[in-house]
Amino acid sequence: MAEVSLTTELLQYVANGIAKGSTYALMAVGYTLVYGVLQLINFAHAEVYMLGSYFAWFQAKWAGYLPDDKGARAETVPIGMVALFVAGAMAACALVGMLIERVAYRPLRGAGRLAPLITAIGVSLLLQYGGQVVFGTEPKLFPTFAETRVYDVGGVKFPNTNIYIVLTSVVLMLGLTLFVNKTRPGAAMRACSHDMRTARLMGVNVNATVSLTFAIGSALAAVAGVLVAMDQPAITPLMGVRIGLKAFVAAVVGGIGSIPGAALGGLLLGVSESVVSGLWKPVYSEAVAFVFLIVVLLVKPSGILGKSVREKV
Amino acid sequence: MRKALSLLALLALLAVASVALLGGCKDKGGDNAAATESGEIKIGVFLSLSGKNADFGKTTKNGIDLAVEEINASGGIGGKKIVLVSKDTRSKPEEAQTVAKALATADKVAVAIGSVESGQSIKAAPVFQEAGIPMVSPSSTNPDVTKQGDRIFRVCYLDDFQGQACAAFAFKDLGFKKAAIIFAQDDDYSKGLAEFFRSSFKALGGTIVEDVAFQGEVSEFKDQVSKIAAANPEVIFAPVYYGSIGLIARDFRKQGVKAPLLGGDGWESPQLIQLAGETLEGCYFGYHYDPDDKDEKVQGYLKAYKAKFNTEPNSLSALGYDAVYAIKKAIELGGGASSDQITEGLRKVVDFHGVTGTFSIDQNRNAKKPITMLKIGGTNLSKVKVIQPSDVK
Amino acid sequence: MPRTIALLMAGIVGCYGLNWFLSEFIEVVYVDYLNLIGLSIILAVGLNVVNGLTGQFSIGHAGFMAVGAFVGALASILFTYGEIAAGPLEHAGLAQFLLCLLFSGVAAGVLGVVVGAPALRLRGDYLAIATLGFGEITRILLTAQDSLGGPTGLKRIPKMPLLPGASGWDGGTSVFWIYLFVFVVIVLAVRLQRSTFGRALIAIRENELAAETMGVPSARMKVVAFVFGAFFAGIAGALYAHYQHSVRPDDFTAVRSIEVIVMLVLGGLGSVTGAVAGAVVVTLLPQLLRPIEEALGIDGLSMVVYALLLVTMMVFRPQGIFGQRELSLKLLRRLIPGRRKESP
Repeated sequence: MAEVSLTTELLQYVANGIAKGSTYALMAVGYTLVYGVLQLINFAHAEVYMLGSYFAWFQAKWAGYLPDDKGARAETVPIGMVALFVAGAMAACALVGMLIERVAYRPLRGAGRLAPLITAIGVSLLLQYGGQVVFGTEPKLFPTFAETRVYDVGGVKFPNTNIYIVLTSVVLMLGLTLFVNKTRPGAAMRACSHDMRTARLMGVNVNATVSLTFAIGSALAAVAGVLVAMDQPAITPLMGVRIGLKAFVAAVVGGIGSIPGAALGGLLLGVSESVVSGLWKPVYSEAVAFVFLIVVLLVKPSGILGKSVREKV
Repeated sequence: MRKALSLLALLALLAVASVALLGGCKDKGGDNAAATESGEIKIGVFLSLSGKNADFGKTTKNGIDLAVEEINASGGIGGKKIVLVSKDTRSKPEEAQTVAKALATADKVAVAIGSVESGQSIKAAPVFQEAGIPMVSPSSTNPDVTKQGDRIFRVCYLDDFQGQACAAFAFKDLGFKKAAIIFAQDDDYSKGLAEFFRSSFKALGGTIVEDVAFQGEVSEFKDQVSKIAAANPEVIFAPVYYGSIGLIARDFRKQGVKAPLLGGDGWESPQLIQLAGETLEGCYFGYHYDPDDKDEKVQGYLKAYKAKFNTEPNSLSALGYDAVYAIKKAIELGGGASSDQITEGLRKVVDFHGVTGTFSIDQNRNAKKPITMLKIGGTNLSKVKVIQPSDVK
Repeated sequence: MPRTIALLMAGIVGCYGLNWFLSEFIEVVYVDYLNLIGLSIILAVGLNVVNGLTGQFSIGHAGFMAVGAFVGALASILFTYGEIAAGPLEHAGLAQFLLCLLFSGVAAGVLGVVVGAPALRLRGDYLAIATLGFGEITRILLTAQDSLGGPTGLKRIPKMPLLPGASGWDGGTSVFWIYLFVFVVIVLAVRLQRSTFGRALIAIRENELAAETMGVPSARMKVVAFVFGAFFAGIAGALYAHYQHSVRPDDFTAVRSIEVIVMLVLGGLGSVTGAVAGAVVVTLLPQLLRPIEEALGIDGLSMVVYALLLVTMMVFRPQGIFGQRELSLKLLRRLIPGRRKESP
């Protein structure tokens, strides 16, 4: 390999960071939507992401793409089947998301903000531990959906998986923005996030809207789960913990409650982690997220794109 | 002030009530010497059976169960059957200490086996030391583990030897002069191996062209890989566990890095090849035995394990299996199954022929044993070289 | 002042009695549960002043505990052995031990000022996330310190000082030392709650702007509350280090911070009794559930049940076991609700 220039190297890290940041962004949207409507940090979101991977894994298993013999290699899944698996995982996760809201959060609406936070932690633990009991604790091989190809643009390497991740994320985020801004259910979501009581007075079906919010956020988490699993094909019941925390930080940095904010936060976090890894020490990249978070919060507490709320007596 | 007092009253009440409920009154007469007279040998086991490292604990437990079953089927040790008392540490070091206390004081085990993670072994060691019970770690390779007390033993080789052996193998046998390292900063196993490989490879005359760490439960290594790719090494030392190495190897190949990877015993798993796909083709790792070894002990073990659990064993199973047999040997050498006799016996274990090689316990209570370097080709592992402790340094 | 001294003496005598009773008659493993509960109580009651009383949502408590643990452990190791080296465990000297605890508390308290002064400008969930970030940064930095043992942390931390007449596991003194600080933190927290200062903190919780208008210097008082919590977290950390004889950065993950929050909310946020009750339940439950999984042979089942119970308890009693009520003799006698109304 020839000598790599600093610019190329930097660009490589930015490229890495964008791929990583896209998955953060997809997850961050789920946190931001729920927070916008309920002011609740939905800790269980990370576990919905994990379930998304497992739902897709089970479909692949039933469809016969995963070998029973542990020594053998997994087959490549055609793209049409992948779409089917993703759709299945999205539907299943949407249901799980709505179920969690119905069972663990709705009974506590109006009971202050801490009680639902604790049930969120409880549900998150339940799914982590339950996942270990039900799915087993060993990492499971996730099937790949295409031959890995690496594109080389002036020394910067783009594996095709990264390109798929970024494209899918962009399409979904644009779709979601359109949905929220241009449709009636989207308007209901916005109304609920402004003022739930007034929205109810205006005839918005609040319960249905909250359920919808959870369904959408969870379905996006499922997509993120499948995308990441295809890039890093070993899934475990605890795979959501780390990315969940990162994505939540991304949502706060971008401005919680704001969809473009989630996207921006995710990308910023992903890129800054990668660049710190590359130019300084990878081991500090874990701390970067939090340093970033604290700096942003101190400068603009409501996040980069968040609305600042003036407090009244 | 009445409030404070009533609170304290409540507290004392709770304390006494909960203890009374638990029925945890001290059994004054019992010490573990008495327990062993009853024709049973109680072995305590503490492992991560749930939580993030549950797989380590479960596979070790399988090896232990198999050995105990074999020993009991053939009449026990000197007529005494082994009884296992197993506790889950939930992958948390601090829980290891709590369950160690239960094993040492409530269950009154004669000897304890555990844990895989060095962090847990270090937390549990002072408990068994205080209770006067020997503890045998099957696979905690961190040098600090056995320094925690003179009753703390292990049956695996140490990070220092494994790191040195890997460095010597890469430099002398494979002829590589430029190495890169990728390791987990917050994992003592990974960090320890990296440390000893680094110093040893440099001492041999090689250069470490890039040295990167990651932290936490990471599953993507794009940035670390980019960094190493830019340094263009001839070999990459990756002392991580099998759950990560597949992902690391995939990320390397995705960025066009073709250099072979080299690792330690943490790689070994029936799932290794599956998780890595073809990305580990031609890579090497250090291991406890050669799976194709014609040795009847190894083959017998492999066959029995497959028959009982319907899956291939990994290195941890083998070490758990050897830990039980080493204790059996110690009981025979020490002349009895009391904690003191087992401790004495363990100190005398010399040239013990186990599945994971022939080893002796040295004066620092560590196992001295050879390391077998294996090469991955297709779905097979083939022996390249056996390195003896006397070969390095 | 004489009353305070009398109370302290009573506390010392009481803890000595408890220590004697437990180490004489009770299995070590159950004494261990009680000690873990004691450590949780110190953490929870300290944090209650921040989260419950002042209404500032902090989830970085493990960070302060970590700093206290490492400072106390390092000081104690150096005092007792003079160097970091392998060898048999020894008992710390009484004066040295108390000094180490002081160091731990002060180090954590100073960090409390450093973190609290800027962070407490943030409100609600933003403060929560910033403190969570602080806790994680502390842990990550500690892991990177090779001089402090890196990921395996510090080992061979001395046993707690010997007491006259005490004997047993590790010298049989851990209950005394841990519960002495449980006593101290509870007495201080209760006194604080009933003082003018405590009322001001409650005013900040109920409405910060209104409190400010009434002349409460909210910024300064929030920092003081924060430092109170941090100080005792530091002490708890040092006690934990001496109790376990080793500390790792991993002992202090965000999970532990969240666990303390769970204790508070489960017990009833804003109530000292609640904090104590929450600490007991959250610490004991995972241990008491062990027989279930051991009987059924399903590894990890007990934590599933634990999580399920947690959700159920919160859904059926969102205000926590005690709400904001305190247990008092009056309440015990008549079982009527406390004086303060629940806030919505």
